[in-house]
Amino acid sequence: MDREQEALLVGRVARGDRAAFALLVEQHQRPLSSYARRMLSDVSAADDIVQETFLRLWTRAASFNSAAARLTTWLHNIAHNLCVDSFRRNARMEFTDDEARLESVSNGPDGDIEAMESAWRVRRALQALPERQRSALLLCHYQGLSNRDAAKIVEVSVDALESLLARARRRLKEELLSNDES
Amino acid sequence: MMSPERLQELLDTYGAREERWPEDQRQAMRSCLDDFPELRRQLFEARELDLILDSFIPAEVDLEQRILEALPSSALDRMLNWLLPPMPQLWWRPAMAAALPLVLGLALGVESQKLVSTDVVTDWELQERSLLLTATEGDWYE
Repeated sequence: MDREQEALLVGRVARGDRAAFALLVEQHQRPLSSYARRMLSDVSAADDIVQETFLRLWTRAASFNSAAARLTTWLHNIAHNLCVDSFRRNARMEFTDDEARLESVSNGPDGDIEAMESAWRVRRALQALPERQRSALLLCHYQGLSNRDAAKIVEVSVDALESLLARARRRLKEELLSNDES
Repeated sequence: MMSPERLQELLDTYGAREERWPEDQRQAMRSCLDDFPELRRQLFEARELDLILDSFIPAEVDLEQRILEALPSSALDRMLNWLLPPMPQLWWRPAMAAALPLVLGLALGVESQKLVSTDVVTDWELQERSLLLTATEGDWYE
């Protein structure tokens, strides 16, 4: 979907068009869910955040400026701010039970236990990163946003974003690759 | 021309996949890798971390229906939902809505009848008063 189509759809949403809204939900819900679920340890809080993000699209569509940002960046920005709020409210909350562990990661094609263990280690390592390093890494590595868009969302310069990314990757490398070798 | 040190920094920052490299530096990064093949080891290490990170795929979730259902409804939708509820135990609502014109009609009918009757009485009373005013006492006994 190009910018023009995107702007048209958002314009229709601003006029209360539910069909246009449904199309945008269909297109953006899964990447936003992945972002929120990687960002937070609480799966149901992550789902609530995705719902709230779209509710804001519904109520604030008129304020979206297609010339300033792509819709995906705009939505990620909203979801990111909600995640940060939630993260700060529940900073000490962590899932340790097996149910949460199973719920949080994909089973993979054959329910591969080894792949699940690896995913779980990555999840733990990501959760252990400082919030801004984690946000920077998730936005660039997993969500595929450009460094400029990610920098805007994290509210830092591109240089500062690069520094956050480099520190995050260094820490993950130490954590995950050294564990791998042991 | 990009220095090997800068390339190393960028690989440590963005990883090994070209699509994640900054667009305005991709070409210079590729050229640098061609010029300094020894940097392929750093590229390999960055790829190793990328692959481990990619193993974390959150369970897929379909929230579309939930999101659409959570939208605030319009006044018309709310009225229709009230009149035609999805729950069968609320059968009385459509029945009440259907009976509403009948009840209104009856109420209006009774009310208008009262008005008409009051007018008749008023006219009669006026007639009586006018007779009383114009007639003398003797007229009554004649």
